[in-house]
Amino acid sequence: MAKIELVKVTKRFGNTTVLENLDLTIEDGEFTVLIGASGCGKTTLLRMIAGIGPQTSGQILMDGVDISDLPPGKRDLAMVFQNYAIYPTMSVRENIEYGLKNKKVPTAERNRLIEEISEILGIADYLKRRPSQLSGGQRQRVALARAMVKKPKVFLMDEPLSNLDAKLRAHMRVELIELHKKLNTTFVYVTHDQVEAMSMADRIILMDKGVIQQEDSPSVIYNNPCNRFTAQFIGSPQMNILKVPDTEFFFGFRPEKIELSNEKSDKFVQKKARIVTKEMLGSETLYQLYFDNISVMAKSLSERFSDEIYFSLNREDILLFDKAGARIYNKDNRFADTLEKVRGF
Amino acid sequence: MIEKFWQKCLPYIFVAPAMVFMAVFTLYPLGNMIYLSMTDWVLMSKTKNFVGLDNFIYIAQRADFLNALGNTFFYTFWTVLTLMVAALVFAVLLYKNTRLNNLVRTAMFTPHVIALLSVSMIWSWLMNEDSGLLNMLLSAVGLPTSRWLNSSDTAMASLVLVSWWKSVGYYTLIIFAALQGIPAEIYEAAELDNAGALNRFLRITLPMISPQVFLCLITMTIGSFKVFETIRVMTAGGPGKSTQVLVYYIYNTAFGMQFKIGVASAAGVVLLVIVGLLTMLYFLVLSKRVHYQ
Amino acid sequence: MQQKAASKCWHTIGALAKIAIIVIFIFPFVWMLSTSLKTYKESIAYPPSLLMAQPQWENFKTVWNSGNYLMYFRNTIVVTLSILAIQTFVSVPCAYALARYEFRGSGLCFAIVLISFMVPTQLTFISVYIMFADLEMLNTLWPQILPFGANAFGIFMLRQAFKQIPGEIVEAARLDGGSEVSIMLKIMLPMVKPSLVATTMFSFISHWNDYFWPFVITNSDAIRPLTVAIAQLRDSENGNQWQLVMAGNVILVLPILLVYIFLHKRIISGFVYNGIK
Repeated sequence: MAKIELVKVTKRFGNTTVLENLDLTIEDGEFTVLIGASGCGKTTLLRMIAGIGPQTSGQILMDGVDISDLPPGKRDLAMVFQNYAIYPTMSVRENIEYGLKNKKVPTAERNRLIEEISEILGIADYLKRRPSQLSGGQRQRVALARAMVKKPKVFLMDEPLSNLDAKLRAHMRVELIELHKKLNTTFVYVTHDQVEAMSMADRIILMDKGVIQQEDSPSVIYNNPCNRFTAQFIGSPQMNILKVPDTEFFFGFRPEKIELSNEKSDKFVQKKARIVTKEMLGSETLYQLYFDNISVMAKSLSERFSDEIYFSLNREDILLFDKAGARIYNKDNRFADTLEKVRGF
Repeated sequence: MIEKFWQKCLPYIFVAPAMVFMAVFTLYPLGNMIYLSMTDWVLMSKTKNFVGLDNFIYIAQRADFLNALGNTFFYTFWTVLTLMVAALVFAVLLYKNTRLNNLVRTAMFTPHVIALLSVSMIWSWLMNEDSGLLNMLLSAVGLPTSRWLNSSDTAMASLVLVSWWKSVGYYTLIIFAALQGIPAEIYEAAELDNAGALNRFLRITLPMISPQVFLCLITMTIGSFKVFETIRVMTAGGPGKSTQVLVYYIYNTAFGMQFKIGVASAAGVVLLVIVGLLTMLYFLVLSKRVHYQ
Repeated sequence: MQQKAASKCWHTIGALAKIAIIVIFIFPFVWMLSTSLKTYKESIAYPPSLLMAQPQWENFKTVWNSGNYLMYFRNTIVVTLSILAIQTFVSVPCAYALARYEFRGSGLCFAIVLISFMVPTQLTFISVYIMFADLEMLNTLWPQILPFGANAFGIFMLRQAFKQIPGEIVEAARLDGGSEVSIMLKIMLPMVKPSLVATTMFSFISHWNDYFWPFVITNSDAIRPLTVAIAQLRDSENGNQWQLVMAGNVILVLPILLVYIFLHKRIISGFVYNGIK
C-alpha cells in the first residue's frame, strides 16, 4: 500500500514536451484511472511511475520517499502491460517465478506463493503450459498473476483489457474491481475507454495534451464536469454543446436529458424538431434531431415517435461554459442572465 | 550512483569485443592497405619508402593490371546480370508451393552449401576438354564440342556459368521468399482493376520486392569482385591472361612471385574504391525506388 | 475442349522442364560420386557411364594416405568450431546493445558492422598476414580463427531479430528486477533462437568450405585444413587422376551434403529468413 506523489515532473522526447511541471497525488489504496485520448500523456505518466520511461525532471515520491533514482525492479510496484508482455519462451510457472527469483525469494516460499496466486486466478491447471498455448483471457490472468505474486505496493495497468473481446472485457472488469477490494492496494489504471473508467474507478483523472483537466469520482466527473472538454469527453453519445444566442457563451445538455414527445409540454426549453436518423441500441434508441440548421443527439427509451416531434429540457439539466470552455457555475453572476437567453433560443 | 554508472557503461561493454575484432581485422587492415599502397615495400625487405601515388601510376600503365580490371568488370557484369534475371524468372515460375516446385528449389539451392573449391573442381572435370562429361554428351548428340576452359574465347564464359550454377538457387530463394511476403489482397485488387500479368509484375511485384532485389545486387556484386577459388582451381588466370581478375592479380603480386606489397596494395585500394562506388551507386539509384514497408 | 488439352500439354512441358532443372543442379554431384569410385580407365572412357564394373573404394584409401588427412580433418573441425564459439560469444551482446540500447556512438558502431560486412577478406589479407607474421603466429591455427571472431553478418541479423521483440517484454523484465545481463540471456536470447541457429549454421558452412583464407595464411602442413589439402591434390602429380580428385572432394563435401539432405528444410528456411530481412 502506498501513496504516490508526482512533483513538478516534466517529460520530453527530443524536442517535444509531453508533460510539463505536472503535479499529481495518487491516494493510498485507491483505484485511480488515468483516461484521455491517445497521445495525451497518460501512458507516459504511468511509465514514469514504473521507472521504465524516466522523467526528464521533477520528482516521484512513494510514501514520501523519493524513488526517482531507483531502477524499476526496486520500486516495489508491478505492471500489467497492454499486450501482456509474457515471456514467450518460458512456461507460465517460469513467467510468474522470474520476478521472485530476482528478488532471491527461497524456493519453498516461491512455490507457496505461486500456488496461492494461481489458485486465486484459476490458472493452477496450466502452470506448465507455454504462453502460445493460452487464450487471450488466460494470458491476461498470467500477466495479473505475475504482477500479484510480488505483492507490490502499487499495481500499474496499461490498457490491460484492450485486447480482449467485449464479453470477456466486461467479465474482467468485474474481476478487477473485486481484486482491488480484496487486495486493498493502490491501483493506477490507464485506459482510453470511458466505460472502464466509469465502472472501475474510485477516482478518474482526465488528461488532455499533457494537462490534467479534472480529477474526481466518476459521478462528479459525469454530472458536474468542470469544463467543456470533460463534459464532451465523458458520456456517449457526447454532450450536445450549442451556442447561447447573442453571447459568446455555450450551453450543453446530455442526450438522455432530452425529453421527446409528440405533443407540446411546458418545460424550461421547448423546441419543435425533425428526426433525421434513428439508431436502435436495444434498450434505448438514439435520435439525431434537426431544427433551425442545428443538429443534436437525443437518447430515449421509447421509439414511438412521428417524424416531427417536440423536445424539451429541464432547467437543472443545462450546463453553461464560457468562451474558453470553463464552466459557468450557478453562483457566477453571469449564470442567471445567460440561462435566460438559453430559454429564448 | 554506481548502478547508474554501470548502466551507462553496459552498452559499451557489450559492443567492445566485436568492435575490437572489427577494428583489428577490418579497419586497421584497410587503413594499412591504403598506407602500404603509397610505399615501395617488398615483403621481407628492410626499406619501406613513401612514394606517394607512384604505385597507382605504375599499375595504371601496366597491361596486366588493366587486363585484370577489365576481366573483373566483364565477369561481374555478366554474373550479376544473368543471376538477377534468372533469380527473378525462376522465383516467379516456381511461385506456387507445389511438391515439385519445392523439390526444384531444394535442388537448385544445393550448390550453395557446397564449397566453391569443390564446385570448381567438379566443373573442371565436367568441362575437361578430352574426357569431360560435357564434351562427351555434346559429341554423342552430334553437336560440336567446346574447348571450355582451354580457350581464351570461352574460359571466362565458362567461369560465369559455374558461378551462376553455384548461386542462382540462393538468389531465387530470396526473391521467392520476398514474393511470398506480398499479401494476396494486393494481387486480387490489381486483378479487379484489370491489370495485365506483365503490368502487375512491373508495377506491383517489382516495387514490393525492391529491398530484396537491392540486397541481392549488392551481395552479387561484392561476391563477383572477390572471385578467387574458381579462377585459382579452374584456369589459374589463363589461358594466357584471359581470366586474370583483380583479386588474383593482387594475390600474385603480393605472395606469388614478386612480393610487391606496395603495388598489390594499390590494386587493393582500386578494388576497394570500385566496390564502394558501386555500392553507393546502387544505393543512390535504387534508394529512391526501394519501397520499404 | 481444345483449350483444356493445350493447357494440359503445357503443364507436362513445364513439369519436364522442372525435372530437367533438378537434374542440372544435382547431377554434377552424382557424377563426382560416380567418378570417385571408378578406375582411371573407366573415368575417361567413351561413351561415359554412370556405373563402374567394381566400386574402387581404394581411391579413398589412396587419397587418405597421400597426406595426414586425419589432421586436416581435425584442423578444419577445430578451426570451424572455435570460430563459431568466439562468434557467438562476441556477436550476441553486440547485436543486443545495437538493437536495444540508445548510447552515444551506437551509429558509428553500426557503421563499422556494415563496413565489415561489405569488406571481403580478399581486401584485408595482406595486412592481416603481415600482422600474424610479425607476431610469429603463422604456424598456429590462430590466424585461421581470430580474423573471423566478429561475424558482421551475424551481428546484423541478430540485431534485426532483437529489434523485433516488443519493448514491453524488456520493460516487464526490468520491473521484475532482472539484471540487464539476465534479461539478455534468459529472456531475449531464447526469443531469437531461430536467427541464432540460422546465422550459426550459415557461418559453419562458410568456414567449413572456406578456401581463400587458409590458402593464403597456411604455409605448413600441420595447420592445413581439408580444403587446402584437397586443392593440393589437384596440384600434385595425381592432378589428372580425376577419380582421386573427385574422391578427395567427396571427403570434403559429404559431411555438408549429408547434413543438407537431412536438414534441408531448416537450412533453407534459415537462409531465406536471413536473406529477406
